[in-house]
Amino acid sequence: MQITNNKIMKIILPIFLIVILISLVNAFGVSSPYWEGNPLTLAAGETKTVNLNLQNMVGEEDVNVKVEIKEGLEIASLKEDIYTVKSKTSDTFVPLKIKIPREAENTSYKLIAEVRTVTPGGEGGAVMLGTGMTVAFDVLVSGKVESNKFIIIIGACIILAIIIFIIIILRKKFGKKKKSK
Amino acid sequence: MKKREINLLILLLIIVLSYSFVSAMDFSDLWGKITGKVTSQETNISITVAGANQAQITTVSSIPNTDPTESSSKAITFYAIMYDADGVGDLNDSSVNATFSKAGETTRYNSSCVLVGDLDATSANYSCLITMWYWDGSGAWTINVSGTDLGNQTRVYNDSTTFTYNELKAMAISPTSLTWPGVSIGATNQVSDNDPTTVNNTGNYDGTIDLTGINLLGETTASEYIPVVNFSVDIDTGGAAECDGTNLVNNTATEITSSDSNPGNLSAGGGAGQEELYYCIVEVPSDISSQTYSTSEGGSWTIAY
Repeated sequence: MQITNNKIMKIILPIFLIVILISLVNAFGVSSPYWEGNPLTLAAGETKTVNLNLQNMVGEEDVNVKVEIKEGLEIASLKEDIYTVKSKTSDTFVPLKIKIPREAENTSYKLIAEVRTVTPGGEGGAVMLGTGMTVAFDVLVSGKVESNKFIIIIGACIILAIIIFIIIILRKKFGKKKKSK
Repeated sequence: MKKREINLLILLLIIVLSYSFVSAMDFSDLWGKITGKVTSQETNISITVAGANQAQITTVSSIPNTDPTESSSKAITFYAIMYDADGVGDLNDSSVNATFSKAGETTRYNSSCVLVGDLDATSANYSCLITMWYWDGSGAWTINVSGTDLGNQTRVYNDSTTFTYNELKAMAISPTSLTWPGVSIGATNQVSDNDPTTVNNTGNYDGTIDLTGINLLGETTASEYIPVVNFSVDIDTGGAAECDGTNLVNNTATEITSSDSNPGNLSAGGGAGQEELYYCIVEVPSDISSQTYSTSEGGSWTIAY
């Protein structure tokens, strides 16, 4: 259907938004162990990988999705940003590595990752629709993670103290014997 | 006379004995038949000792955080140990059942957990399987296992553990593109002719729906475009109701007012698990030329949770 605008006298200027149906359904999903109201708690200096689980149980075709960290880049990183989620699968994992700085005690971060289908813009005029999911959760930082080096040093000191203690006792014993002889 | 009486007695005795033989037709237990003494023989008997102590559900195995499966169910298996001081013989193996419950959600249950085996003289291990659905809410679910014994028969419960059912944001939209009839320069309130977009919630997300729109660029002259802010999206339709909905913002996720992901059983129908979006071009700009405008250059729009 074309509608004429009387203000433009000479030519009828139709704007067509043409339909091109590429597929009947666009579908996918992402599950996460953390979400708004269910935060992740880590210690300062701690590193953890959170797996986002991509699913495509409804669509008949494989889906390409792009993952992008929108907020929290200072603590989170991705190895890859494009994933193919095969049709009728529910186990494509996106490892989201979260590393908390050592000095970030008793603070919190907001992490927002956007996962959206890579949908072609459409040929020959169309308003194409894709789907997307936003995974957002808070990362709460509690105490400091105990450093391995610190534990090793403490352990070494204790062992050293025990050895010195034994040496002193042995010296005292041998010294007494020598005196008595 | 005396001899007669003796003869009479002997005759009576013979009659009595004869009656016993004939009625029994069996001479194997003659003494018993005559005297009425109870016969004896070997037999197997079964005695169940029902104890007075209550059973206890001592342990419920932990369930790891579980992802729902898009548009499907998820079978969750776990184990429980039932103890009875009176011994495993006193446990009622068919009485063990389990539920997953969460406020505001339908309780999921298994009415009959299965005996895996006895662990020792007083404890037995049972396997339970409960099916969760994709629309079941995310968060902590309480695991409640109960059972009875044969003696005391008091049903005992253990609801001390929980597990986390993760959030699944998932949707299926149809159709995957929008169409308008031919519209002219400067036209107002032009509604789409192939809406609504049906947004099926195939997960358990409970919240609003966002739409990221991108300006529609001319396919011939890309410098000309229809700004996406001229589009309105609404959950209502009829009488161009969608034309006073939420105006989109270029390349920005915009929450559609009053939209609801409405998690639920899509198979139940009646709109459960569904939302519908309607579209309108509030005004076609007057300063653009006649050509095809589309998302082919600027990129597709995204419906998101």
